[in-house]
Parts: sequence; structure tokens; C-alpha cells
Amino acid sequence: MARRWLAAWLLALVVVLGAAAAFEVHLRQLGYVPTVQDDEDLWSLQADRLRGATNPIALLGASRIQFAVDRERVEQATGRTTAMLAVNGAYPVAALRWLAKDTSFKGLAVIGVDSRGLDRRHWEMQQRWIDHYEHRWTYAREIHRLLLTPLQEYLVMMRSPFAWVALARRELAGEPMPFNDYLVMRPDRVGFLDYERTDVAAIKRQRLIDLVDYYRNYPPAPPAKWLADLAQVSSWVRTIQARGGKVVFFREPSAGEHLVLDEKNYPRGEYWDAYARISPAPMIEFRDEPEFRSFVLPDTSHIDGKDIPRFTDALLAVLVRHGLIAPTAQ
Amino acid sequence: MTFDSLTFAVFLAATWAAYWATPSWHTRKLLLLALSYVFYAAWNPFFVVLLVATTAFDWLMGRKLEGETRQPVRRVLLCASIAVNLCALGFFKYAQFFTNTAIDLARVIGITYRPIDLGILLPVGISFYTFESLAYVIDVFRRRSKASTRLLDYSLYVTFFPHLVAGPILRYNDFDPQTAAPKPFAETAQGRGLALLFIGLALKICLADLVFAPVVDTLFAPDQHPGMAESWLGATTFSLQVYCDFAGYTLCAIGVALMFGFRFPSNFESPFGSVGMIDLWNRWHISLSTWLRDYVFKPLGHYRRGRLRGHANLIFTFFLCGLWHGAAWTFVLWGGLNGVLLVAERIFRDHVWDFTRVRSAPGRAALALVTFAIFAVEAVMFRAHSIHQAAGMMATMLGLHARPASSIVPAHDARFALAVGACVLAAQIATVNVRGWEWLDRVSIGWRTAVAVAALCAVVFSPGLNPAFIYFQF
Repeated sequence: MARRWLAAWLLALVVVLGAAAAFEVHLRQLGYVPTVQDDEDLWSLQADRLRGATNPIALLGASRIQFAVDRERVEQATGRTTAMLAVNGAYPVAALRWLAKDTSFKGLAVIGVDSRGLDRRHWEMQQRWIDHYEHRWTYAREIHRLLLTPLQEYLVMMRSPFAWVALARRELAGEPMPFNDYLVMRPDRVGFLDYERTDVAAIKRQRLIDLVDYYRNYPPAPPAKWLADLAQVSSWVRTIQARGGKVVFFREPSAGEHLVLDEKNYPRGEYWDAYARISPAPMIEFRDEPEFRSFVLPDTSHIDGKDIPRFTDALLAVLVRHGLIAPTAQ
Repeated sequence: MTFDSLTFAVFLAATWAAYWATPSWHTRKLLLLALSYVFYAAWNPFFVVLLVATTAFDWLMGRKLEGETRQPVRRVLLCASIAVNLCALGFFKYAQFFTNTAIDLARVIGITYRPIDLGILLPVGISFYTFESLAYVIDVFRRRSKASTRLLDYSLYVTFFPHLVAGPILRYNDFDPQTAAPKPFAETAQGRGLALLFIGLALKICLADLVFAPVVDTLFAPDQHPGMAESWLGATTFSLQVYCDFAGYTLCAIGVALMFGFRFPSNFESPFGSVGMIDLWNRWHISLSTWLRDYVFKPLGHYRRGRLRGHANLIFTFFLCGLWHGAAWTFVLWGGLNGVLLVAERIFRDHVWDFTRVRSAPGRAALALVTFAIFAVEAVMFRAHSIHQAAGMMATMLGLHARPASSIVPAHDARFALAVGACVLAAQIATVNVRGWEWLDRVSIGWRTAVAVAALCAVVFSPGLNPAFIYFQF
């Protein structure tokens, strides 16, 4: 290399590394912490765990599973390969359909869902992740994701809200620095919420506003129609059961105004219980299980990260009682 | 693996170190070929078989063509090679498209078929390496190239990883001499190659993905109906996005090739500084436009058989250009539209005003902006999800279809994208006469450091998702 180029590159490297170090220190001083960023590639790594595993456990659902069940703890307690396939903000019916089509899956699918999530309107929400896994997941992406994860684990500046373009946009819009996210994600996609680092009242308020808006814009399907649509879901469950697998629907805890609104729009007797009477899969409702009574839901929908081990143990105990995992497994 | 992935960073570092540590030139080329197959296999290992088979077939055809003196037999050999290449391309890329079109046509005459999903995966880069193979065989047939005697060198021409999946489309006559003798390591090419790699990454990661893509994706969402101002915003930001994406990829390819001692042709030369669409197509995706000129437009007779026939040849060539880009009618129409625009420009310049003779800088800058605006209007067809969406948006832009003013994109996002876009345009207009990147070797160490710092910073401080390069789908 010509000497002038070598010098230019060495100098540039020193300047950029110095700037990166200063930026990292600055972000940490502002209270930000590093976290793995969830994406389709991380989901695909989990989906890969199901391939070739005998009798695996697939954890499906949305944020209430992803931010409440410790995948590692389930794996250790049961001795069965466990994959965290829940997706924050997306209901899991598409993932159930995908497991039904995958003839190699003969394990247990734990599906965290409520009556709203079973509504046909929400069935395709996770299809994007499945399409990615089926069509775009390659060895190259896998290696990229495996290399990227440790960088995100240790560097705050690897979070996309801190890209200079995102910060410049905020500056132009007169917005403050990015929201100090109270979620820390582990590489296996289990998320830990730390409510001590955030304004719980504001989050609770916003969650309620969003839910009121949602039910105003998307009123529930009539119970008969809702139930009729679920015949297809039942067929997917039976497909898994026919080859020796098991499926369980689990209505995770919610509380306060959130629960009131859910109950008002999807009355348990007309929806959840109606399906429970004909569903080929067992359906666990949190209010029926004493293990879930003691949990505090700071934002009415999720538990604090500190409660995840206890919640995971509670879920395992319930699964044992329903005969879905072996009693000795715990 | 894409150039903007950590997988590629590791692959490149390992390949580069192994290549330069290998003393024998033959072994180096073998190593490059083997690792190029690894690079390709990272997408789908099964398609390596297709790549190897078509490469070997075309190499054999080249040898046969070289040795054969009977012209009818040579024609048969040429046709066989073209047919095999186009059949492979047609099957993988266009079978679904033609099936869908047939079903649509049947519906028009009252016969209804259920849509059929053929489930065919597109081998990445097939459009690019097929064109390279075709160019080689045709050139050997025309006796403009000597047939390759070494399968290794020919395979490297087709497979060398920097250009394999999205060009630039190489010519055998340009590449083959570079395989003859080893390149010394101690060249400024190393430093410049690294600079081009990072400038390319900055264009892709920072500008295409972070600045322009969010605006484009929002405005081109199927359920959006932007008004006139936002339609223009969508069209112009998409034009800039596709430029930064593809020119960024090409710069990476050229830079990486340089780091291995190979020179690739330039693929973009400040296209948005062009005056007129003819000028623009001489500066935009140059390796494709020259390929189409040499292997489609000229064989059709270009303008030798009269103006009218020439115009028809030009439009037909650009229809094919559109079809090459994608198996969808939007791409075909986009290509045809470009052909029509080029013909219109020729007629306008011949009979009304030859604006390319304008010499004043402000005048040329104004004409460049008009050219960019025309490019942006027709680029809508390239990006839209359907002809219906494209037609609605284009009509709105031209004031032919009144839509209420919209505010789909937040004002500060629009301002930011427009400000960055203005900088890109200004830079292209200012550097329209600067060819290539050799100037980087001539500037002071301070300027080189500044370029390196800017490109590195743009990459390092742009964490985010890494969506695929737009041209990988072709």
C-alpha cells in the first residue's frame, strides 16, 4: 500500500475509533444500556432450534410470552430444546399454522394468546417472520446475526435509534434524545422489562389510550363468526396432535382497565370459554390457575423482568398439572 | 452474503489475507474461484451447481466455436448456447411471470384459472452472469474474442465474487488479460479499493437505507394516495435511493476487486448531472446499457436502416431492458417508457432544440435538474406495486389527476431527505465531468483522511437493519 494511503487509513481509524468510544461513553452517561435488538434473523435462529430436535417446546405468542417466560429456564427444567418464537406486538396464529405444516414438529406448542389474538383479523401478524425464515434465511445471514449479537450486547451505540441519521431527524423535529427503553433483550429473544427505569403511569396511560382506540376502530367479530373461523385453527392443532405433538392455548394475565376492556369486548363466556368447549387443545385461562394470582402487572399487561423466573416456574407447574409436560421434568 | 454484512467483512478479510499470502498465481486464482463459490453458496448451495454447469457449458461452446470453421455449424452452436442460457434465465426468472400473465389473459376471455404458485426460487445474480456468458459466446462467434483456453480463468471471469450477484457486467476481453499475470501487492489500489468499499457502503447503509428508504416505503405503500407534492417527494427520493443503493453496491464491487488487483469498469458516472436522458443512460448502469447497445440494439440494425426503424429498435431494446430488470409488467413498461423518452429526445434535439449545446454552467445545471425530474417521473413505474398505482401517482405528479394535498410523511423527515438529496444532486452536477475515482490517489493525505473518516463514520454510526440491495432481486 502506498505510504500516504496507509497513513490516511491509520489516521482515519484512530479518529473514528476515538469518536465511537466518546459517543459510547456519552450514551452510557445519559443512562442508556446495551441490549440485543430483536429482528427476523434472531427469530430465525430460534426457529432453527426446532429443526432436528426431538420433542421440542415452541413458545409462541406476543410480548406477554416474550417478556415473561425464560426460555433457558424452561429448557433446563424440562430437558427439552425450547425455542422462543413469540413476537412483541404480533399475535401467533400464523406461527401455529407454520408448525402444523412442518411435519418434523412433534413437540409441544405453548401459545400465548387471548380471544382478540384468535380473531381471524390477526392471523397473519407473524407471517413476515415465517416468510423471512422460509425464503430469506441463509447461512450468511446466520453468521451475520451471530456476529452482530455480541456487539449489541456490549455497545449501546449499536442500537438503531442512535444511528446518526435517526438522531439528525430527531434534532430537526425538535425531539429529545431517544426514549430510554426499559427493555433489555437477551440473545435468545427473552425480554426483561425494568419498570424502575421508566414512567409506569405514563406507559399505563398510553396503553389504555391505544386499547380504547383499537376497540373503537376494530370492534370484535360476533361470537358465532369468531368461533366458526376457529375451525381452521382447530384443524392445525389436530394436525400437530395427529403426529404426536401437543398444543396448549394460554391466556396470559392482564389486569386493571386493560382486563376490563378486554372483557367488555370479548366476554369470556361468549368467546374464550365457548372455544374451550370445542377446542382440541387444552386452554388455560390465567384466572383459573392459582399460580398466576400473585403477579403484579405494572402496566396492566406485562410483568417486571425480576418476576420472570417465578412466572416461568408457575407456568411450568400449570403445564404439569394439565398433563402437558412430565411431572418429573420440573 | 451482502457487502454490508458482518459475514462479508469476515469473508473478505480471510479471503484477502489468504490470497495475498499465496505465492503462486495459479493457486491464487484457484483460491479466488473456490471462495467465490463459497460466497455464492452462502445464499443457496444448490444453485452453485447451476452456476458451474452453465459456466462449463459456455466455456465448451466457446472452444467449439473457436475451432469450427463452417459458418452454419457455428450458428447452431451459438444458438444452442444462447438457448440454454436464456432457457435457464427464463425458467427461473420469468416462468411465474408468464404463467400469471397467461392466467390473466385467460380471464379476459372468460376462462378462469386459479393462480398457480410455481414455487421457483430465483438464483441470485442469474441475470448478471447470464449476460456475461452470452457476451462471451457472441464475441467468440463474431471472432472479436479468442475463446478461453483455461477453464479456470473463464470460470473466474463469470464467478469472481465482487461482481457475481449484481455486476458490473464484465466483458471477457477486459477481464481475461488481467488473469494472465500476477498483480503486485504494493499498489495504491489497496488504499483506493478500501476507500471505494467504504464510500459504497456509506451510500448504501447511510443514504439509501436510512435517509431515503423510510420516505419511499411510506409513500409507495399500497394503501397510500399521496398528493402532488408528496408524489414528487416519493419519486425523487426513490430515484436517489435506487442510485445510492446500486451505485453503492457497484462501488463496493469495484473497490473489493481493486483490493485483489483487478480492475472493473465504472458503472455510474454522476448520472444525475446528465443533460438529457440519452446522456443519463450513458452514465447510469453503464455496463448494462453498453451490453444492450452491443448485443441487442446494434444487431437489430440500430439506426442503419432508417430513422423510423432505429426508433423502433431503441424502444424494443429498452423494453428488453425493463424485462431484464424484473418479471413484472411495471418493469416492462418502465423500460418501454425509457425507450420512448430517448426517441422523443432524439426527435426534439433534431427538430426543435439541441439543448446539449448549452455551455453555461447554470444552464446545464438547470437542464440536469429537468433530466432528473423526468427520470423521477418514470422511476415511479419501477417502484410501484402495480401499474394502477404507478399511473395514479404519475398522473398526480403531472397534474393530470387531482388528489387532495397529503401529509403522509412527517414534514421534518421530508425536509431531511430533500436536503440530503439536494446535496447528492449538487455533488453530481458539480462533478459531472470527473470520470472514475483515480483522483483519490492524487489528492493530499489530509483529503484522503477526510474521505476515509467520513466514509467510516457513515458506516460505523449507522447501526440498523440490513435490507437487501435493490438490484439483488434482478
